[in-house]
Amino acid sequence: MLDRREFFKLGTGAWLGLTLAPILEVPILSLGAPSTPQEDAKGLEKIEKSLQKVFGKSLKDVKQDPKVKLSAPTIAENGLHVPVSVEADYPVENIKSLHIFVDENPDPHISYIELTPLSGKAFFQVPIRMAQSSYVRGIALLKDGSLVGDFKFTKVTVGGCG
Amino acid sequence: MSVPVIVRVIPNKPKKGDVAKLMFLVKHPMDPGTIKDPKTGKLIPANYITTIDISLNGKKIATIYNGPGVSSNPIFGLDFKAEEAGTVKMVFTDNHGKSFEHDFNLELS
Repeated sequence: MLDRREFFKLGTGAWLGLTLAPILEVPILSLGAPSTPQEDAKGLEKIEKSLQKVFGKSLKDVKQDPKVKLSAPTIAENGLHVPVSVEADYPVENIKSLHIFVDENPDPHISYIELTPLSGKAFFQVPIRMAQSSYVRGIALLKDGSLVGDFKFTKVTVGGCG
Repeated sequence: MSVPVIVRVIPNKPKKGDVAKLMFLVKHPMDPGTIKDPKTGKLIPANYITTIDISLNGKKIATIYNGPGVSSNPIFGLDFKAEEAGTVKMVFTDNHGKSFEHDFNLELS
């Protein structure tokens, strides 16, 4: 059920949209659509270079896999301290290491952990510094040399790299 | 050189053979070498922990490698298999090659 307040809000929103859309030449449907973050060329170049240095592979070789879970905040108020964790739902014997990359940092390769069978489960948590809003990438290197990962865009309000 | 380290095992006394969580806080500035000192305006030289070796009774659990992008006073978290009671030893090495150790007793329920 709509109450009076919501009804008025909806009304004004629709009116503004309909009247402004032809002037601004914006398609009406796209007004409500969420804006998807764009990977910019500079960040992609940096991550590509870093991946070549670490694995000798490019970003296209990293398969996005639902078994790998990256948890990072959508909006981080303080770029000095962004808690990030990666978890891979593979048997730990099949995983060599878990890596964390941030595209826009001066050095994208932040931190990684080398696992052993005594690790029990592939999990790694670390707080990181972020210079600016960027993609955070959690990548797992499997024993057969293939790369699987999960990517997430994190918005940073105050950067933390100096 | 000694650096305070606070360790927590979750659950506190894991059952034998179970996977437990090991979390530890390292009190360290982790200066990346790109931040300026607000008082003098000069860059603070890089000083951060690069590797952390973690072992249980001499058997390696995992090794963590850090770049300059890790926060100050970081809390690390990882999983491990509590196969036996004993001492968990952590060896920290910084970018100057200095190292320090911290160990604690792991008890099983």
